[in-house]
Amino acid sequence: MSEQNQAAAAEEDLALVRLCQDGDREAFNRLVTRHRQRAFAMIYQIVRDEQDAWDLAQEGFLKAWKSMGRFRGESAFGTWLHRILSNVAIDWLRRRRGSQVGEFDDSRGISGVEPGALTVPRAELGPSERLSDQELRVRMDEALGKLSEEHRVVIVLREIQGLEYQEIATRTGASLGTVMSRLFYARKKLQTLLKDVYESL
Amino acid sequence: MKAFEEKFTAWMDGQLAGRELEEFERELQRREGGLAAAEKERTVFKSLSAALKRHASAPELEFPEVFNQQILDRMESVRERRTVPWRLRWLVWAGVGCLAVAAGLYQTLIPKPHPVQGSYWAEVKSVRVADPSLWAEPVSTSGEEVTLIWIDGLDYLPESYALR
Repeated sequence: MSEQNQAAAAEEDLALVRLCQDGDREAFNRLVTRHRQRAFAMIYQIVRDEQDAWDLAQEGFLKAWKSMGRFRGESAFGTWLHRILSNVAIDWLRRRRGSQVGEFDDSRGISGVEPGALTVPRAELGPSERLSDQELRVRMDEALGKLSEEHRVVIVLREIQGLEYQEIATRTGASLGTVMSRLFYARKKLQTLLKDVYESL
Repeated sequence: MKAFEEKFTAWMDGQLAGRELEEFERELQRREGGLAAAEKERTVFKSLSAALKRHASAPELEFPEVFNQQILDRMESVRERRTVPWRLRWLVWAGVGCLAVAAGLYQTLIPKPHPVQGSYWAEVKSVRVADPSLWAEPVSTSGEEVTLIWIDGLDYLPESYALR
């Protein structure tokens, strides 16, 4: 989407938000329609389960509706909504993890990693060895699914959503150092899982 | 003091500068593979990150209209839950109002029995005696409308105490 289109979409969102704030239910319905696929995708990338992503996306939209009165338009509605949605997903992971036993270890399964040691690509491949977009999508999806929840959250928020470290720390409730450390291990793990993929990029 | 992992992450994202950058790159140089390997890794990860942005997929949201409708239904139930306290409050006020009307009607419409007007000119409220050897008690009988003061331990009753 071009910057111009983005600005126009943000304006339309804002107009709908104003209507919502005046109690227009249909306006909120239109906002849901405009943002539902991105919302669902973002939550799915974090929780990796369609049914859970469906429920959590709905919960996120409901929270957004309840908080609509507090939205002042300081950021784009999409940004504000995605903050709520990612918080819903992260809280859900935290609650679920609360009932599981065992401490999370960032470096588990990837000890002894040195920069460049596991992840340096081999020589250029020929065109026949390159992966198709569809194959790439499947491989990326599988790799994200293999990351631990903590690692997946930071990768999704940093690499896909493009958030700053501090924003990730705020949303996950972790310290800045922990976020950066998790990113380090998550990236290493991802590079290991996708070694053959990026060799073909 | 930042850990190596933190510095490496910041370095990958181009967020180290000045002396910190120089020091960290010297540290990388001392490690296995050296700075060249780390820089290669950075280049590779950048392309991987771009691919991730482009290709990280999620299934299409199935039955999107149902998705919307469920949200609208949940909004409606929230709205109803929010209105219940108002209804309850209204019911409480209606109840209080009914009680007030009933009390008013009772006061004005139901005839109350008049207090019995006795022909006695005095009424015994309480009996106190200062002398511990004395004991006095009012004794009344409801049927005969008579009250007696039962006094024990009194040698004589002064004339001035006599009831007239």
